[in-house]
Amino acid sequence: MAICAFLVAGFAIAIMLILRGTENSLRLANDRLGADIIVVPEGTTTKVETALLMGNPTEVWMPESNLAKIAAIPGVAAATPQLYLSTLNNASCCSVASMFLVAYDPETDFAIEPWLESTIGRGLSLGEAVGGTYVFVPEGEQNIKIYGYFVTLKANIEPTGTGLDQSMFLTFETAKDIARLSPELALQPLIIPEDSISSVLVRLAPGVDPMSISAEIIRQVPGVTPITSPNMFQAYRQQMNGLLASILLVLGITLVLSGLMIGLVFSMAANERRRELGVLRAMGATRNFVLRSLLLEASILALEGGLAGITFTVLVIFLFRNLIMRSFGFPFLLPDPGLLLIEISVGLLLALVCVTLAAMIPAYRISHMEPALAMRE
Amino acid sequence: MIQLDKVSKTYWMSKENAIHAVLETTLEINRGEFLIITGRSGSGKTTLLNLIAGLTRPSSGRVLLEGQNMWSLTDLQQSQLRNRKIGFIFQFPSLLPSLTALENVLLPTIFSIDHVKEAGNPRARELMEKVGLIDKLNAYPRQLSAGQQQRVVVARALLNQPELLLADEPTSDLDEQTETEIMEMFRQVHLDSGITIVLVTHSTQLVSYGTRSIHMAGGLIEN
Amino acid sequence: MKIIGAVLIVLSLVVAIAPMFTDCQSQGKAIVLENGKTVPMKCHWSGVAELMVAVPLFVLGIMFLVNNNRMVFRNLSILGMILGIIIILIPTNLIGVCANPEMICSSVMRPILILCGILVVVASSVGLWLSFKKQDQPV
Repeated sequence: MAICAFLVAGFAIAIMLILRGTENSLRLANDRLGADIIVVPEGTTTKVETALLMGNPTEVWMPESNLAKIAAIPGVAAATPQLYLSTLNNASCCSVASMFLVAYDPETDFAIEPWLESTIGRGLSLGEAVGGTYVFVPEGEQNIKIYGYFVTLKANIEPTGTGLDQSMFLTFETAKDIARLSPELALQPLIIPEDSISSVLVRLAPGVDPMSISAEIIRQVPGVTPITSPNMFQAYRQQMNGLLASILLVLGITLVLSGLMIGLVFSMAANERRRELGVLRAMGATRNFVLRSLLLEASILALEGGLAGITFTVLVIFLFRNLIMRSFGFPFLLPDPGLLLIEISVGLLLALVCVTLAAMIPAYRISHMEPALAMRE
Repeated sequence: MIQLDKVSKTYWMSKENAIHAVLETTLEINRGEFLIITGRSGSGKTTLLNLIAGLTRPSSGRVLLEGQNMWSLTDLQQSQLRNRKIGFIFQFPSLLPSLTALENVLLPTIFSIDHVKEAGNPRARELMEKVGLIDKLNAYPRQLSAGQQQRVVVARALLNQPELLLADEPTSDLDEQTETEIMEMFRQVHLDSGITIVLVTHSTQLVSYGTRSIHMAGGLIEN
Repeated sequence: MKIIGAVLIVLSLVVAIAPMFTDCQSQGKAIVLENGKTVPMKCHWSGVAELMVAVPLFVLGIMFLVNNNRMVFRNLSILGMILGIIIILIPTNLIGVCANPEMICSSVMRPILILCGILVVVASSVGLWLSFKKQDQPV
């Protein structure tokens, strides 16, 4: 019976963790990007979202002139362009295989520069970069080599559980410098098409409705798709919801089956002790005493099994989180300890309630049996 | 002390299939008696004992303990009655295997809601000495022989100084010598404390240990 | 106790064999030096170190199976716990694996080894606890 509790609690917690973890990631990534609307070339929504979520580099382009058109729309408080580039495979062996590079314009940027100010006290100079949490300088070296060009890593952003963790942010200036020198320094040149940008990040004035601005953008700027912040990662969210529905179904079925099995197992176990319980009754134990003892025993087993199940599940998820991310194709970050503790308590409570309910009927039956009957055979 | 007034017990195996364990029986047991009930298996003697102890409800008739109808009491009252006034010795090994001998003897104190609790420990030791097992206080049931286990059960039954001792085939699993020892012990207890004893057995040879004996067959007492 | 022995034997096999299939070298990745020589990365060396710990663990498991003495179990358990801790430390602090989370040594090999290490410590702790149980109860 403890095993049942183990499984129920473990399964429930696993589900909760995975779902929460993903929500967590998406939220953090969204915050990091800092924009109300991201405008990307038409038809590239999935590519861009995948790049941001999973760190699979992509290169998409649209005319630089779109920037001015977007900035001119009433309600737009700020608009800044970004370039999406990727490094060569195995840029520097073991730090990251193929990095997603995001180049931003320090003059109009409103997401990265403020963060930089608070972290290192200034913006990035030529040849400097900011990395996601997994980006770092390989051992024994001073800088990261990109297309043969040495870039100094100035800071790392906090973990988001998404592809941003493996991305690098540099200024337009640095990116163009790298491109310029790459034909000589690198195996393959870095090519940035003339007068092109990859996306425009838009920040809206307070109180402005993102949907109306999006509509306006579509009207005024051909060949682009605006993605509003809440709709960010929409494809993933839908996938998740679908997954959530089927998982809840499985969870529900598991609970019911577990409940039945627990009832059965408990019934058999209690039956074997029928005689012992009859003896106790003969010595003066009341029916309630026997009932309480049986339920207490069930609860303790539930707690033990549940705790073991939860501990094991949390451990496995924590250890294998990278594998989980890569297998499922969506980002994941464990919730912080306080929240985790609450979720664990809920899981434990679930196991406890489930087991006690299931044990209730056999326990009642046996405790209210006539002692003489209990002692037969 | 004990009155069985037209008591019967019927077990229903199915709608049509009934087992009449005890047919309308009237019996009176006086205080201080050592009653031996004999009979073959299936004669209803165990059921009769269970009825006396209040461990099973009569299908008809009344069971009176000192004039009090057992089945008009609440579950708590009945349990307390069993705890303080009746000591029971079962046919099967009834010691809890995970407790030591001493702990087993002390079991009845768990269910007492009066002062008997505190007096338990010294009395338990005293009883273990009386049954000759003072050196086995911390032994586990599996470390004791069948005869020794039964003696511990007797000590347990006597812990709360009951007025009535009920024994259901206490020697059926034992060899002859041990049987004699146990029966001698019963006799000694009876002489020492004047406690009322009702003992059920299939062996008619043991009749001589008691002050009175009755024989049961087919759910009825034979005369 | 026998169960613990069996568990330890199984775990020792996993610890020894898992790295062979999940380190970077098994995936064909290695460091190519300036002079053209191919040198394995540190995940490979972690795997070798784990193999070296797996061997005494295996023997320990067997000793759990064939022994009957309470004191022996106690000592074996303590040894087991130490081996378990070492198994955990090798891919984390002592030698480590590749830093890139995308690589299989980081996402698969390391967690497997840590998990096995934890299970070894748990199993040994249970063995230790059992060796302290009351004298008359069978071990």
